[in-house]
Amino acid sequence: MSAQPGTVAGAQAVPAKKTKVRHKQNGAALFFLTPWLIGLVCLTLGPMAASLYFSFTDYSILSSPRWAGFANYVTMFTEDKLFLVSMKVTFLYVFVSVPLKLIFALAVAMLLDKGIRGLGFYRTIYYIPSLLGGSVAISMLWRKMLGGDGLVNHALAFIGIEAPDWVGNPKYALYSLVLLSVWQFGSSMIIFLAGLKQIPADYYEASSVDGAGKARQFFNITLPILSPVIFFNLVMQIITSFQSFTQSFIISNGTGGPVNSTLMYSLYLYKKGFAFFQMGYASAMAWVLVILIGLFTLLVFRTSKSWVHYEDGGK
Amino acid sequence: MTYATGKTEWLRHSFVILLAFIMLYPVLWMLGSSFKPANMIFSEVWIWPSEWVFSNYAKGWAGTQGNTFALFLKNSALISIGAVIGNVVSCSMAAYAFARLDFRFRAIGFGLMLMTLMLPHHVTLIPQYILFHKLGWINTYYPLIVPKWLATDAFFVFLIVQFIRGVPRDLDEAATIDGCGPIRIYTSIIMPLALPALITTTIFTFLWTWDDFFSQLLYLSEVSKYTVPLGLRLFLDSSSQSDWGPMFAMSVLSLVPCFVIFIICQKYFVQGIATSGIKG
Amino acid sequence: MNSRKRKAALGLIASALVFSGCASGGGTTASGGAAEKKPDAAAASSGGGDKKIELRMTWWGSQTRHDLTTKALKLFEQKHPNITIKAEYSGWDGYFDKLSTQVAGSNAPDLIQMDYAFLTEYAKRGALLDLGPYVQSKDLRTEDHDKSMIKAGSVDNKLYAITMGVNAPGIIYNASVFKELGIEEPKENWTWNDLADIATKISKAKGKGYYGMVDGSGTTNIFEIMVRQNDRTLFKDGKLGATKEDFQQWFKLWDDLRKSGGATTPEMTATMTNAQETRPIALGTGAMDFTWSNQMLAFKNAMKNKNDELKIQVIPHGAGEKKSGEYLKPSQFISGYAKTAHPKEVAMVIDFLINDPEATAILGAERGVPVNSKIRDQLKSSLSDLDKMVFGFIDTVSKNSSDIDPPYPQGYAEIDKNFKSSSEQIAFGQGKMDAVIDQFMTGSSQILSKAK
Repeated sequence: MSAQPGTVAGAQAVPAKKTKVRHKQNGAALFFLTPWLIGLVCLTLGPMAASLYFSFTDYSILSSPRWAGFANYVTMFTEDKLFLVSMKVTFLYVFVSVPLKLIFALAVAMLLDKGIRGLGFYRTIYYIPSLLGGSVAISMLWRKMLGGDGLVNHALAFIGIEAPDWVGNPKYALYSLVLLSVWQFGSSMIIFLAGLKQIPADYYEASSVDGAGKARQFFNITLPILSPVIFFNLVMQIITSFQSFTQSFIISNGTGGPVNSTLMYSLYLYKKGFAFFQMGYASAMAWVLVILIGLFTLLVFRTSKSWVHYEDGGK
Repeated sequence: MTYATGKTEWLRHSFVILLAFIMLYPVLWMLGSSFKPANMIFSEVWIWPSEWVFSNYAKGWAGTQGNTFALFLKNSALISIGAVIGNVVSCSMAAYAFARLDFRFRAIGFGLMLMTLMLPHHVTLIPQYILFHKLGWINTYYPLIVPKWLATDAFFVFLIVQFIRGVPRDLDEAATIDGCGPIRIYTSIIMPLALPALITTTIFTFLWTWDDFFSQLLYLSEVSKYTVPLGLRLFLDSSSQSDWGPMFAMSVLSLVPCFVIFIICQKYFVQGIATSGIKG
Repeated sequence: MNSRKRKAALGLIASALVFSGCASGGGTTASGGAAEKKPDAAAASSGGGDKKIELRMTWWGSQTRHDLTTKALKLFEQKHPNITIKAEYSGWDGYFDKLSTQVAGSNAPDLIQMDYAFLTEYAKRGALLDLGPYVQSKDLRTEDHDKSMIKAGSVDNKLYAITMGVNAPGIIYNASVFKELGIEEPKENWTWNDLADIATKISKAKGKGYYGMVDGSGTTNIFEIMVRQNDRTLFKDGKLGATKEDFQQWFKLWDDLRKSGGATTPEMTATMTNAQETRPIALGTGAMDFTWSNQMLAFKNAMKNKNDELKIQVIPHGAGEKKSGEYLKPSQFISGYAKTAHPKEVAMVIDFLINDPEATAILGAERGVPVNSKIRDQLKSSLSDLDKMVFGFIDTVSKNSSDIDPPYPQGYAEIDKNFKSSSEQIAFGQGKMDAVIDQFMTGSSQILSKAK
């Protein structure tokens, strides 16, 4: 993809070499990073290290941990069938829901960014589902809407389609979760909107004068300038979707059913830790997930050089 | 900028309105349910109550043992506002360093920050609890606010980094030549230009803190310190009688501050950046 | 030996937590929980009897329970001016997650409302106070308690929990629907076949969208009753006690009932929750359901059709049953925390909530029928009609029931979850019934052997 936003003067063409000449700013960086460093060292790294230690023990929460070596990791890959089930469910969920949600959020954000009467009103309305998050009301509502006798099926029956129970059927239950996740596109939309706000209007004006069509404007101006934000949303959605917990927890009432069809990795991990008192095992599962998410994130970061365009010259 | 006209405009509008209805439905349903008697909330198909009950609001507002819902709202507001200020200040500082300053271990630090996002929080809950217990912070608001002042929400650091990187470097280079130090550049150039990101941080931090159930449950034990999410679940039991009516009534009520924050913030969103003069 | 290991392990965690050096102001002792007591509490326990003592008590429930329990605790404080009780109550959501985290942090409340399903896990891992000594010292009186409830609260012959209310499983049914269809109401001696016949008849008579009975194939507690009718126990000596025949009999019963249309469809069953408001009987789409006797009131309040009359009958008998499968079960327990600084006072509060006539008059039957027989008789005069029916039902069950088996072994929660998903597998036709049963049985044995 071309990183040159059409005819607009390229502010992006800052030579990368320039920065090499500059002095390191260690002192200033230390000043700005102090709160973060204190938080990292005191609040974050300790508990992370503890969980890594737990993953090599039989920690049950209620009694103290005993060293177990790699037993948890071995069990996971050799004995535990539900581990593989939850892995499969999660991968399917991530690969279907992340692109759907992002494309939908971007489309709506662009729709709203153009002049529409009552813009603020719609923006507020569209954020509502994300506002309700994981509340009890949502789980009840979701059953009512997508259940066998729910609103959606009433509507489908009206046009002569007999539809299954979307939440109660193991074949479709996961897709009802995907739908719920796409429905809560508000947060991604807000971030896209914030990104669109950063694009100066005169870029578009200049290219309009040059006779660029909408499609060309989109590919030459919007996408490149928005790319850091798209990249952010993509990385964050991958990270959070792999850990997605609340949705499957509230929709399946904490069971991951029917027939484990919505048993997301994080839900299973939670059950292992808190309901079945195997926090050691749960910690091991968590670190396997870290490696997995880390690999995917690294992959996305590697590819980003070819499609993410930074105004600061890619430094 | 050209505006679409005629048919496409009409299509766009009807799509936007239809979508709005789908998005609005749950709130309407909650609103309807908050006026229904408990036995009709789940059995009635339509949103409009066939029998109106207003006592749900009174009963919900009364809370428990003299701790009214007003108290829960106040507590939640306190925590949420503390968290917002903390996140905006600390995350933007860290983000500025990662995005603009050149220092040793930058790549490692950035990677470490992202890694903190990847570990499911269920396995760090207990060590964190033990830590806060040792600090004597259980049953206080510190575990809910202090971490926000220490930029532990990497989500927002990363978000602001991405926005700062969208600001041309020429601007701070010009400022450097004019003799500005990093602090001046941070306060007078980068922060104003990253305003959409800061507003986004404000909105999300407020709403997510407002909604957060489990850590508030974990760290608060006295009922007089309870927050809205805890207050809402006080009405619900698994095996005995649950008071759904009051729960829905107070759920509706607790959305009001969220809407207010959202509407105030998004105003800045619209006005926030008139970048035209700055770029180019 | 054990405690040394424990210290070492705790030290490890502690050092992992503070290896950065700034996590803790004071030097972190590696002595674990003992050092964790609140300073004021520790001071109080070392002094005489007049010193102020502060206890913390936690329970889950809804508004009614919060009101009644705090009222009873206030009364206790009036009678014991040197003791204050801090109430830390919440809804059901997250209750046990919080509790186990508190136990991990050596910071659990002194008095804990406990659930039957979790008792063994907490007791075996040393989180609960052994109440035996206080029964002996008469601080906690249990003479008038049902013996089977003492057994239910004991793990490895030590008393860890006192029953706050007695419960019995039964079939709840909408008597008005029976009357409307001219079907005879179930009798005390009815069998599983009767249940199947009635359910099928009701489904046929009411037509599409209405079901005679909720598919209960995933409910471990009721399966346990059938196992007991076959003169076996669900668990025996930390192993699975139910045989393959028990499982086959159980799942076949439900499979037939689903095929005949008498039981709810798998999809419907899968979307139900424990909340009474979501059950078919409340929504007006079903005539019968399993219930625990203390849930009758919640069902009644959740009924779409307020005028329908609800009744409860015993769990059906086995065709050639070898013994009565039914048993009385604690609806909730109250326990003490193992590391409490004031075990004697904890025992006193428990005693007060269970045996004091004034306190029990306040608490009523909200947590189930009182465990103390004298209190039960005393309460009978002031009961509502519905409570009278529940008390009567408990009497019926207790006449015929056999004793409850020892509390479930460690690992039960996971087995319970697998039982439910196995039942769904069969209901949705994913795999042959025999194969699913085999898989469940080997899985359970694995879990049980590991849990030790």
